Amino acid sequence: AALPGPAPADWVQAPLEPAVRAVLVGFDEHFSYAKLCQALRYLLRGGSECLLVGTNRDHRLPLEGGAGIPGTGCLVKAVETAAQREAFIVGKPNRFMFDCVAQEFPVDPARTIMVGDRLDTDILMGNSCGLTTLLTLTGVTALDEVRGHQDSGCPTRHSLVPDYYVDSIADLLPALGQ
Amino acid sequence: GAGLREVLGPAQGLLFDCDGVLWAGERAVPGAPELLERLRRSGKAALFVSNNSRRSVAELERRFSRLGFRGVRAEHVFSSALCSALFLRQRLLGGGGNGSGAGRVFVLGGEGLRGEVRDAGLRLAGEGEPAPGEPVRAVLVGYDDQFTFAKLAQACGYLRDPQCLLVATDPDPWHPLSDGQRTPGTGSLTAAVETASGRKALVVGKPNTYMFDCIVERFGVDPSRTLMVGDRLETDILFGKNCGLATILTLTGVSRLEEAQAYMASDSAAAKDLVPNYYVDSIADLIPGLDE
Repeated sequence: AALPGPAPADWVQAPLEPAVRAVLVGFDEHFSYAKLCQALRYLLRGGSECLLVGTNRDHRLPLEGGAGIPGTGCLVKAVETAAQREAFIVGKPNRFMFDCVAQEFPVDPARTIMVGDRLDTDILMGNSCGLTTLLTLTGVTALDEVRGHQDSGCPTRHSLVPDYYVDSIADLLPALGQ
Repeated sequence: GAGLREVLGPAQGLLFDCDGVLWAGERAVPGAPELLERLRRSGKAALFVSNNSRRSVAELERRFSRLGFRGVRAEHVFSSALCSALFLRQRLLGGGGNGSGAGRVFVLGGEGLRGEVRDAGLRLAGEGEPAPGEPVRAVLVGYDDQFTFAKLAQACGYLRDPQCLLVATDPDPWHPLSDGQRTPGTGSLTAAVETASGRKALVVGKPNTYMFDCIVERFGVDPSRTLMVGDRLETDILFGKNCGLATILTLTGVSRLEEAQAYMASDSAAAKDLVPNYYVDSIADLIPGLDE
């Protein structure tokens, strides 16, 4: 809807939709202060009756050449900070998405491998759900990061360590039949 | 009466937060202009320290006048916009000199903030042709009601250079509007930039003490004879504690008395720093503590 004026003092006069019961923060390349303002209004109006949900907490989406763009996690943090409350995060490492998969397909965790490039999302979720975890090095993670977690004395960091790793998922081909 | 005189009598000066203390929106707190007048007649200094990074101190001087406060000049007003500009001048220019070779500043904020940065002798990214070898040396996050994903991405691009500073005007998560609603504060925008860049911002505003350093440098204030008056426990009262000032909470703004009581009852040492020494319903209640 069009904003009723140029400043936040105008925007907060616009009527709120009565039926809104949740604020969902996803990747939004059109994120703006006005939207943040609106999200805050719904969360304050609803209190505990209005959910705050984020799709994921990724900080960055990597692009070629080492550049990246801000990830959804940044937008979630902005809303959480303004509203002074914590979002429920649907995405990895939360097990919610694995539960969605398991509901649709017959998945036996003991016979399922989670393949990912990110320790604090892919590998952590896989380990939490009892899957075998396989790290590929074609993405954001370097091997010495894994070694750091492995050598730490901290159980939380150990849950970031995959069972196996490959330089690339192409390296799996020789293990499969022709 | 008597208690107030004991507190105010020895004080050489008072530092006031502005929003929620002197005024709420476009309305002066009843009795606030009279309090400032009485302070002047008592020979006590009144200085102003605000986390609000929207306005230049020149605009604030006009605002004071428009809302009925007499005799407040721009030099008495320390806003986070001004102090952020002074901080950046110190860090990028070494406190003096002209702008060449210092690099530019990418500002997320409105015209008031941008003006203060320019007035400090710094050049803004995106303005005029950059000289060769004039990189962006600082990203300054302020209150920016035109904040967008594109600006966030641009800020992150600059912050890939570890030499580029990340500075925030203030940590406030939200600000109250006159009808009880809230508008997101600089703190929420800073959280987005920190998350995207993996960096922690240097925060100029209260409760950090840099703005007090600016005040001391200009006016030579003695903390043991100065009172801090504010409405927000997490910024004003903690700022007072951090600077060695006795603190007075006024209840015309953000914080409720119950919140101060909760901090007082808490076991945590950090919570104790958020408990004011005194509180009043409104700063007008300080008037009886001053000589006729």
